[in-house]
Amino acid sequence: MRVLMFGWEFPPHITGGLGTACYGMCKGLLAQGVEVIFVAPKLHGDEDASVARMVNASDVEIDLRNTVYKELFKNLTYIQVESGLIPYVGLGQYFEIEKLKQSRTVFDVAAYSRRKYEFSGAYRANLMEEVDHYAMVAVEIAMHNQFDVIHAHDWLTYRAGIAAKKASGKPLVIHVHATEFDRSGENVNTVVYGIEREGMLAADRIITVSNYTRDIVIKRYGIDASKVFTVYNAVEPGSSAKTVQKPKMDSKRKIVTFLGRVTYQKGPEYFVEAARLVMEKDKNVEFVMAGSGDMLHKIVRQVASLGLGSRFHFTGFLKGMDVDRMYAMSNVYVMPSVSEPFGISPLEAMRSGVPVVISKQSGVAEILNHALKVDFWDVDAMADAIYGLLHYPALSETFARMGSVDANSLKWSSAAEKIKQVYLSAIK
Amino acid sequence: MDSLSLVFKIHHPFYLRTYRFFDIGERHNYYDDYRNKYILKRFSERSYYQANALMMRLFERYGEKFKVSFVFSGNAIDQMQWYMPELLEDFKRVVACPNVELVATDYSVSASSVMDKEVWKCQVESHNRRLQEVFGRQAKVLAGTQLLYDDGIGKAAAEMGMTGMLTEGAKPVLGWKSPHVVYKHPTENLKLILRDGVLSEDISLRFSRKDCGVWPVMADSFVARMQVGNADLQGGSHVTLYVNYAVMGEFQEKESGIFDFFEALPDKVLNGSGFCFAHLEELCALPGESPALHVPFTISDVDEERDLTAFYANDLQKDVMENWRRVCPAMLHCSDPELQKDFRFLTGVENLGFMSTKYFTETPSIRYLNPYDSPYDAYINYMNVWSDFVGRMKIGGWVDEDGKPVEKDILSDFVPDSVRKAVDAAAYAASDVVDSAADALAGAMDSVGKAVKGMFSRMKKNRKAKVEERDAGAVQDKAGAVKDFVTETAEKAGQAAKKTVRKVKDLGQKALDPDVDKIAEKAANAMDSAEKAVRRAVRKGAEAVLKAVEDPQEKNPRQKTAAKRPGTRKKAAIAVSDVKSASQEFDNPAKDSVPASAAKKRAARGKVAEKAASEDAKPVSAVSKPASPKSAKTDTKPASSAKTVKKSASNALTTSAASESKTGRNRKKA
Repeated sequence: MRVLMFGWEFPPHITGGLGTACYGMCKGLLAQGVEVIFVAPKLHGDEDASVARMVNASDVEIDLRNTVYKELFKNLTYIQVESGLIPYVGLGQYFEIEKLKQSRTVFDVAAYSRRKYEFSGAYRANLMEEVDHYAMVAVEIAMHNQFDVIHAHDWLTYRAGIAAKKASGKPLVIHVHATEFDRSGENVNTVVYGIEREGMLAADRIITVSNYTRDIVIKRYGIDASKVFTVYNAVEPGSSAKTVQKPKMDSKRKIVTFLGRVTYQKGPEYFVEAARLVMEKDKNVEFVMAGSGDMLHKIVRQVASLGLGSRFHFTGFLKGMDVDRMYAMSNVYVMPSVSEPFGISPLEAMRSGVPVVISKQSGVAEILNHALKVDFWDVDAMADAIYGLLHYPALSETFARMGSVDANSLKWSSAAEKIKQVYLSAIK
Repeated sequence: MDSLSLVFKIHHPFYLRTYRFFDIGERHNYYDDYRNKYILKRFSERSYYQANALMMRLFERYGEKFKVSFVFSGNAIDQMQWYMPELLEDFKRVVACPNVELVATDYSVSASSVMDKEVWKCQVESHNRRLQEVFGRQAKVLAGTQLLYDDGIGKAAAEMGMTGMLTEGAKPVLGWKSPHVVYKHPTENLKLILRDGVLSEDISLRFSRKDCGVWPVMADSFVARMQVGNADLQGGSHVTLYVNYAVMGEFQEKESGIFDFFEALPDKVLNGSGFCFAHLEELCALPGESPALHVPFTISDVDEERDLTAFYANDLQKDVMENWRRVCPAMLHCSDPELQKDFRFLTGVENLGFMSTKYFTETPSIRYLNPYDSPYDAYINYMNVWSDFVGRMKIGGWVDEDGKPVEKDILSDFVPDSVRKAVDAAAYAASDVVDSAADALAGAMDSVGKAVKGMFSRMKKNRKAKVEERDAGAVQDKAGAVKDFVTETAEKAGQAAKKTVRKVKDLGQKALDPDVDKIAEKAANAMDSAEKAVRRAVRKGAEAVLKAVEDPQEKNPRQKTAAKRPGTRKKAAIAVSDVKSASQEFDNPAKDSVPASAAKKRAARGKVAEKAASEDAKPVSAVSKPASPKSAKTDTKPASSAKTVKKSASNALTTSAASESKTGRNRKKA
C-alpha cells in the first residue's frame, strides 16, 4: 500500500507539533508496510528521507493551462480577497496585506503558467495563497505518482488533498490535529472554518487525535459520526532527555514550567494565576514560561502587575537541547490549555520524568493515568495540584516512575496500525 | 443443628471536602457536610427506614427465633446523631429487641488494626463505649474493618477480652477447609467465625445481575444452596452472611425484590431447612473444641484476592499509612478531643480506597460514591488535610517539627492545673520513694556483705576457728548471689513503681473519658495500687535481705560463733530485727502497734497513706544506716509529700470531674 501524504512541515524545521507527529507517523506506517510519499511545501534537504519519499512542492512544475486548475483558480482568486483575515494578525500587518491584495486583484494567468512556485513553508500573511498553490502542486503530484490513498494533515493541506482526490479518484483521509475552535475559541475565522468543513465533507474518512476533537468535528462541523475515527498521537521513543544532566540546584528550589506557544489556546494567563496562588504559600517555588507568542507581552504585564517578577521567568522560544535541559530542571510541568486537541508536550515531559498537570480540555487527558487533570479555568485546583506535586514526595515519585511508562506505552507503531485500518476501510 | 447468622454493617464514612493547600493552617473543617448529610438522608429514605420496618415485622412474626446482628460504626452513629437523630431513634427501637445482637468494630472503620495495635484497641474500646452510651449494651464479638484479620489482630482482640471475631472465609487461608465451622485462634482464647463470601456476595453484588448465573436469587433456592454447602459437615455448622444493611434498597434497588427476599428468607430457613438463626456470641459460646486456624497474613473481605491490596499497595497508600503510623504514638497520649476525633475520622480506610490504582478502578465496596476523579486527586486532597492535621498536632505540642511524637507532659491544658500538679507530685513522690528504697536496699546489702566479709576475714585470721578455704569460698559466693538478687529485686521494685506512675498518668489522661464521673475513683484506685505495688516490691526486697542475713547464720553456725565482736554482731542483730519488724508491718499495715521505733513515731501520725509511704522507705534504711540523720530526713519527705499529694489529688479530681461534666453539658448544648 502506498499513501500520498500532504503535510506542511517536517523535522527538523518545525514550528509546532504537526511536523513531529508526521515524522513519527511515517516511521510507524513504514513499519506496517505502508509506503509514504510525503509532500511538504518547502523541504530544506536535511530531512530524514529514510522514512518516506520526500517531495518538495517547491520543485514541482505546474502547468496552469491544465484544465483541472480552472476550478481551483476560482478558489485562488476568492481566497486572495479574503487572505487578510488569517488569525493572529495585528492591525499594522493587516494594512500591509490589504495593499498587497489590491495590487493583485487581477490575476495574471500567463505569469503563473508553467512555473515553479516558491513556497515559504511558514505561516505568513500570504498563507491562503500558499494553501491554494499547494493544491495546484498536489494535482501535479497526484497525476504523476502511483498511490492508493491520500492523507492530508490539517486545514492547510485539505485543499491539496481534495485536489489530489479529484485528479486521481483515490479516497481521501484527512487528519484533524486541531480545529479552528481550538485556535481561536468561539471567534472563529470563518474562512478557515470553511476550508476545514469543506475538507471534512469531501473526505472519505476523518482521523481525529482525540475523542475531544472528534466531538468538535461531529458537533461543530456537522459531520457524520460514522466516518470519524480517533487515533491518539504518540511520542517517538528514545529522546535525548535521558542524556541531559540535571543541573545542580539548591535542593529546596523548585521549578514549575509552562512550555508552549504563548497564545490564547494554551491558557498562559491561568498558569500565571495559579503561580500567584502557589507563591503565596511557598517561597521556594519558581515559575518558568518557555515559549513565545502573541500573548507574551500581555502575560509579562500580568506578571509584573501581580508583583511576581522576581520568581517568574521568561525564556523565549526554546529548541532542541534547551528543551531537554528545561525538562531536566523542572519539578512540575503544566499544560493549562483552553482547548488542546491532543497535546504532545506533556508526554515529552513525562518521559523526562517530570510530573505533569494537564487541563481536562485536552485530548491527551483521555489516555493518561499518571497525570493530574484539572479544568483550565479552575486555577485553585491547578495551584493545588502543583502544590501537591511539589510537597508530597510519594506522589511525585510515583509520577516520575509511572509517567514515563504511561508515555512510552503510546507508540507510533500502534497508532500507525490503527491509521492503516482507517486507510483500508477508506479503500473499500 | 445448622445455623444461619445474618450480620448487617452500617457505616458512613466522613467524606472530605475539597481542601486546597491554601486552607492548610487556615481552616480546620475537613468534612463535606453537605455530601455526608445527603448520603445519609438518601440511604435512610431508600433503605434504612424500610429495612427497619421489615425487621420489626419479622421480629413480631417469628419471635426470638429470628435473629440478626448489627455492626454500627462509630461514624455512622455520630452522623445519625448529628444529622438525623430521628433515624437513630428508629434504630434504637430495633436494637432494643432481644432479636438483635450488637457487634464491635473499630470506631471509624479505620486501618488501625494493621497500623498500630494499641491505637486499634483504643478505637475498639471507644466504639464499645459509644454502643453502651447509645444502645445501652456492649459487644463481645468483633468484626474488624472490612473483616481485616491476621493472627496478630486476633491476639490483640483476645487481649481486649473479645470472645470471638468475624472474618472472611478467605480461600488462601482456608484451602480445602470449610468456612462453615467455628475455628479458634491458635494460641489465644478467641473463636473465629468466617463469613461465607460467595453467598454474601450473591446478595450484595450479584443479586440483580442477570449475567452471573445465580439470578434470580430467591429465598428458597438460596436456602437450598446453604444446605448444599453444609451437606458434608453433619450438622453443627454455620453459615454467616455479612452484608451492608443498605444492600436493602440502596445497593440493590427496591425494585430488584431485595426486601421481598429478606422477608421470605426467615420462613424458608425456619420451616424445614434444618437451619436456625444464631447470634455470633452464641456461636462463640458453643461447647466443644474448635480447630485452630492460623492466619499468617492479613485477609479482608475485599475484591477477589481478599487481601489488603485495595488499601495498601501503591506508593500513595503506603505513604499515607506511614504518615498515620508516625502519629500513632502521639495519639496514644494526646488528650485533645478534637484532634482525637479528627484522627479517628481521617484514618478511615475509605481514604486509602480512593487512592487505589488497582486496575485503575476502585474496589466494589467503594466504587459507589467516590468523590474523586482519580486516585491522585484523592491523595492530594487527603495530604492537604493531613498536613493541616499534623500542623495542629505540632501547635498542640504533641509532635515536634519533624512529626515525631513529643514526650510531653502527659496532662495537657485540658486537664485542670490542680489535677495535673497533684498527679505530678504523686508521680514524683512515688518515684522518690522507690528510688530511696532501692538506694537503701542496695546500701543495706552492701553493709551486710561487708559485715559478712569482715566476719569472714576475721574468722580466717583466727586459727582456732579452723575454717577451711572451701567453705569460705562457698559463703562468699552465697553472699554475692544474695546481693545480686536484692539488687535485682530493687530494680524490679523501681520498674513496678514507674509502671504504676505511668498508669496514674494515663488515668489522668483519661480524664477526657466520657465517663468523667468515675475518674476520681479510678485515679484514687490507681494511687492505692501504686502504693501497694511499691510496698509489695519493697517487702520482697526486705524479705530478701532478711534471708540473706539469716542464711549465713544458719548454714554456717561456725561463722556465727566466730563473729564474736560485739560491734558487728550488734549491727547484724539490729538489722535482722528491723527487717523482721518491717515485714510484720507490711502484713499488718493498719495496726498501730508497730515495733520499729522510727516507723512507730511516724505511724502515730495517723493516716494509712502516709504510713504506707514511710514504711516503704523505712525498713531498709534502718538496716543500712540506722544512725544517719540524713536518711531519716529523706525518708520523711516522700512520706509527707505522698500524703498531701493524695489529698490534693482526690480533691482536684472531684473538682475536675465536676467541671468536666459541666463542659460535657455545654458541648451537648452546642
